[in-house]
Amino acid sequence: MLLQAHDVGWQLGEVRILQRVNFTVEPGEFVALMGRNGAGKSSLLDLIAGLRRPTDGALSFDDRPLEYWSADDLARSISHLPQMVRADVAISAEELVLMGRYPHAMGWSESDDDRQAARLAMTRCGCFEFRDRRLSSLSGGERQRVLLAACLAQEPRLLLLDEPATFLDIDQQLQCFTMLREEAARGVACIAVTHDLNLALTFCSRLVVLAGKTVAADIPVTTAAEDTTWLSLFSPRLVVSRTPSGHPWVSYA
Amino acid sequence: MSRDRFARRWIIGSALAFVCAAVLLPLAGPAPLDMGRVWAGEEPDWSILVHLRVTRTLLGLFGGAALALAGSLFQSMLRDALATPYTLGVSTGASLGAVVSIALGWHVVAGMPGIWAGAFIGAAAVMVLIVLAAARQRHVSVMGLLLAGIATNSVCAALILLIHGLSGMANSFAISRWLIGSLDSIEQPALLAYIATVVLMAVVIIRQARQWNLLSVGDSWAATRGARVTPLLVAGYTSGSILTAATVALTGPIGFIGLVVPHVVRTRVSADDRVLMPCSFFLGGVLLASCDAIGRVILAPADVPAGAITALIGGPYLVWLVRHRI
Amino acid sequence: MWRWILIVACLWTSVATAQTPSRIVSTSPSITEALFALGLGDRVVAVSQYCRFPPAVERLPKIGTFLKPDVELIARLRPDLTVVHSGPYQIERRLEILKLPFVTVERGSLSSTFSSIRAIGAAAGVSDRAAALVATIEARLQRVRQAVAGKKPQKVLLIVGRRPGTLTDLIAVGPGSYMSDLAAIAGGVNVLSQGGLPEYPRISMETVIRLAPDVIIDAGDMGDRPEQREARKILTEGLWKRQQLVAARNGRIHAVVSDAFVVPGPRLVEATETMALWLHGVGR
Repeated sequence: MLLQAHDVGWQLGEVRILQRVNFTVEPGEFVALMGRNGAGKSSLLDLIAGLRRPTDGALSFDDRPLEYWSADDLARSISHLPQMVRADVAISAEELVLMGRYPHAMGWSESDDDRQAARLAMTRCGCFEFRDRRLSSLSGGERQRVLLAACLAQEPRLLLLDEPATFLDIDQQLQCFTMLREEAARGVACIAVTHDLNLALTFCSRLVVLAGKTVAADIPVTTAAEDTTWLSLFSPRLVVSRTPSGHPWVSYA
Repeated sequence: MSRDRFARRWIIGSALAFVCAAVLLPLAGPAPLDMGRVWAGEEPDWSILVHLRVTRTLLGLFGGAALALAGSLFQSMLRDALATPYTLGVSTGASLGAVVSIALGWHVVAGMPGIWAGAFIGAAAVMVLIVLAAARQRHVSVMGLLLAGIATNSVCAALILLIHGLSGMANSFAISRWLIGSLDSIEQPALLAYIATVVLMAVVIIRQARQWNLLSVGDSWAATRGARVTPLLVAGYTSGSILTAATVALTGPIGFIGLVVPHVVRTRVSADDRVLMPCSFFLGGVLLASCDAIGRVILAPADVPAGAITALIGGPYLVWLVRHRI
Repeated sequence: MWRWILIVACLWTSVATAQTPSRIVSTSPSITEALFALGLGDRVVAVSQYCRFPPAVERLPKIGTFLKPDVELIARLRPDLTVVHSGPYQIERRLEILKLPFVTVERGSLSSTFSSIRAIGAAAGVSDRAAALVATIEARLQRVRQAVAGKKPQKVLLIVGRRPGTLTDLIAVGPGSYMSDLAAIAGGVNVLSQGGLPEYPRISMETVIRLAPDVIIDAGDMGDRPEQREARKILTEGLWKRQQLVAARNGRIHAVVSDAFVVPGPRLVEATETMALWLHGVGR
């Protein structure tokens, strides 16, 4: 098992955010982590990334408990995209993407291979043309693509993305999720927090829905059209059907 | 590849400027030096050059380097392009210690002038206080450091005003003059100890340049790319504070170098700390030593304090910044 | 007729009381010393924070400094004469608004010391004492001039400020200061005599070396408490002796222990006499 969460709980001061969260993730899965606002999605992603320690239960990565992993080793295997990154960073886009290579680059500066990997990632994310511009001069969508490229350049085995489609227009959103599906096909496990149900149903292999402080639904996308109990976790005004090509599709009632 | 060459060129160029300044600036002074007499080792020109001008220039070079490096470090750590070495309170603590030593009449403490001892004690006390205040459950955050620093700055500044106001005439004027910040010649053992401290801290800080790069984007960004944020913040704060405290103890609080130099380098050269920090180090030294040289020459034989010259340069630069960039 | 005598008596009393203020406030050390030298010490009700001489003033209430006197404190004391210096704080304007009588005196030069003694004497109704005091001072200064007449003037550097404990950040006496004039009376010539220099220029040790004074008089680190001054004198002389200077080699470094040197008041004649002793070995 690549990632296993066993009875994970998390409490912030007096407030309990998560309890008894159980699920596993295997390489090659593209998981959509969903739920209403405040359900604890970002917190769960932070726990998996090792940014916080669970107050109950255990997380393990590659069959080893998460707390036994050193920060460096973890950084080589897991990449995390935060929900919000400051806009006024003076560093250039290419330098930011190269930061994804820091866990792999041993010396003072990055090697040619590192630069090559970074450029490839930037090309795949469609941000290569503004590689020399400062992050603060980019628009929201351009910045998001740079951040995605940085995560890809890290060549992790597990990609944790907190709302990767923020700021992206429709076409860019489709490209982003297509790219993530390609990563999954290459064996990288992806967990993406998203609010866009249809993107999730179209590209992801699995839906994990958080509600009531725990995992309320964990189903493969293929059964999502039939087994519709998960829809009510979002809103009573949604119905699911199938598109002409056979995909599940959520529409408004 | 061109990025590497660009970086290397800038770093080497600023290092060269540093060395040139070390060689050329001692030649500037209230009266010209007779180089023939200097080469022959004759007094007083030899003494003037070596014991007075060279030591003062080196103090300016390494002092400016220390302040500029501390400024660039805090700007990365605090993710604030307007942070200065004084933002986190150490300078005000050092000033308070120095002012207390003037008011109490400490002249020589442990073989060094009382003002230095007072400044070190003040700085150390503030450093410990701030780290303790900023740490919550063994976790230090940028916001914690900033808030603790602002609070300490206010309290120390108020105490300085209080002591100043209660002093008699001689001490009152001595305190006022110290707070302007100036360079002067310094005994060689003290200068060597200072240079060693600055170089040591510079190595410690610049070695971690990639970690500061990570921190300048965000705490969680840095943590998930291999940085251990709390030890890093403590180490950064401590080394930056040592640089600042050692400099302020010897020169009094000289402003603008720590703000203006990293700012200019970041805007014109690179925001990558592997280039930004070394360039700020060398160019900050050149700037302060040059300001001091200007002060020596401009109203000779009267000597304008370097702190006044840096303010005259820094102030208009900030105004220009506001008008052109924001 | 009795009515006229009564009116004249009232006028006389009011003029007389106005002429002899009994509650005087001083706002600077030179004013305080002038008041006490004029025998008005028992009428002084408050002095400035910087005043230390005579020792009796230590227990008097303090009303700020000559740069920023505390008008409220002064007003509470209900003085009938406040002696002030003109300055950026515009103390005269504030005292006028509160209808507190005051007299403004100048400071900083030899002639202003005399004119302020006379002005204070006139405002306090003791003009004759003031004239006598001025005459005494002038006579003593004349005696100093005569004692050093014909002797070769000594090049002197006067230091009035530096970073405590070190010889850095030196503040020296320029040609425009009264101390320069006193040194001239005592048979010295200020090495800093270039036109255009500020009254108290900051100089570097290099300038001291170049100017090669015969004598260095250091009042730069006297501190505020007289008890400490003897110890500081030893420290100061030790600091200078280590320098490569003509004056140091010849042992002609003098650390000042009396603030008569830095207060431009009646005691400046003592400072002059001490300087004559140091420069030419003559005098008391």
